[in-house]
Amino acid sequence: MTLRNHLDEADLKILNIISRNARIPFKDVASEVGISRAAVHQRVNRMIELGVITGSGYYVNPKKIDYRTCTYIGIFLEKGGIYTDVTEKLKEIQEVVECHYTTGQYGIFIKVYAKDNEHLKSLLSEQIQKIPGISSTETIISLEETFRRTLPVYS
Amino acid sequence: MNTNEFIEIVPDIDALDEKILKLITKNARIPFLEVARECGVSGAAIHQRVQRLLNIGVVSGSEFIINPQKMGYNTCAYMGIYLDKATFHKKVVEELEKIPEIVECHYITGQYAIFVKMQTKTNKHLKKLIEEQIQPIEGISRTETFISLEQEFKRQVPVI
Repeated sequence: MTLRNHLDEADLKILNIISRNARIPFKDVASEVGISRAAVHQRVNRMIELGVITGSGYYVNPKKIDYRTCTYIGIFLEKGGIYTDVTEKLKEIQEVVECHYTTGQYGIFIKVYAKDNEHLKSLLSEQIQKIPGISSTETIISLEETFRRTLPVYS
Repeated sequence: MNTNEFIEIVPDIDALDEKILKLITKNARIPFLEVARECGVSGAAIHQRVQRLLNIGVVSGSEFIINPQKMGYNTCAYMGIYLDKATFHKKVVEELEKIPEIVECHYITGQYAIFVKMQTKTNKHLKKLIEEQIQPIEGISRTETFISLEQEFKRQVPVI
């Protein structure tokens, strides 16, 4: 199989390691992959340039910083053409963490974290539903995030 | 009935913790000395704070963020799953967890019982996944899939 973006075996091995632990010393990555430390640096930089890696970060557990309500909200638009205006407004709302343009019944599909149900209600009625162009919304509350992980690097 | 077990205790996080979180959630490889300089404390203090945040579970680890499309995963889809009987829930989730293309799984309110997020290479791959791996799982009565044509943005919860 030809690999996407000319990524080779070593690149995939590196991705596999650093997508699970971003602070691992590149020296350790190098010994695990079997190449030099400089080569790891070079490959990571190349993958950043190619856009394979878009950044890094510590993953915050929302519940521990008081965001207890996780929801998905399907948004119905008055007409399809106003899609970009609506997403721009949604982006201004910090609690909206993901935004998708989807097929199916909804026009836009978002993931929202709120502190509690009351906070969710105020986000919905005072911020989201006030955006011009949104006709109605449908909220699905996640009672439990059973698991969450990154996609498989190896196929 | 003791309801305390349902309450997740929010740990004490002070302004310094928040400042540290803001920096390290955006760049996991930032040198702790740089974080220290920005926060006006010692490097050792930052190490200690980050370790504490890890220990109490506020941060659960670090990651390099991969762009799925560049890895050949071009189709992102959400799926609502209906069950034959609610009691099948646990068994179905166990089976779903074995499928690596499913990256998120939720137990939800509303019309569906389970809600998952999937990353597949193509629409054909998605079809195969649904037909050959998800729908044969015992206890699933039907599924409803919607494809994300474009992910406008994805980010973490605001720290402050």
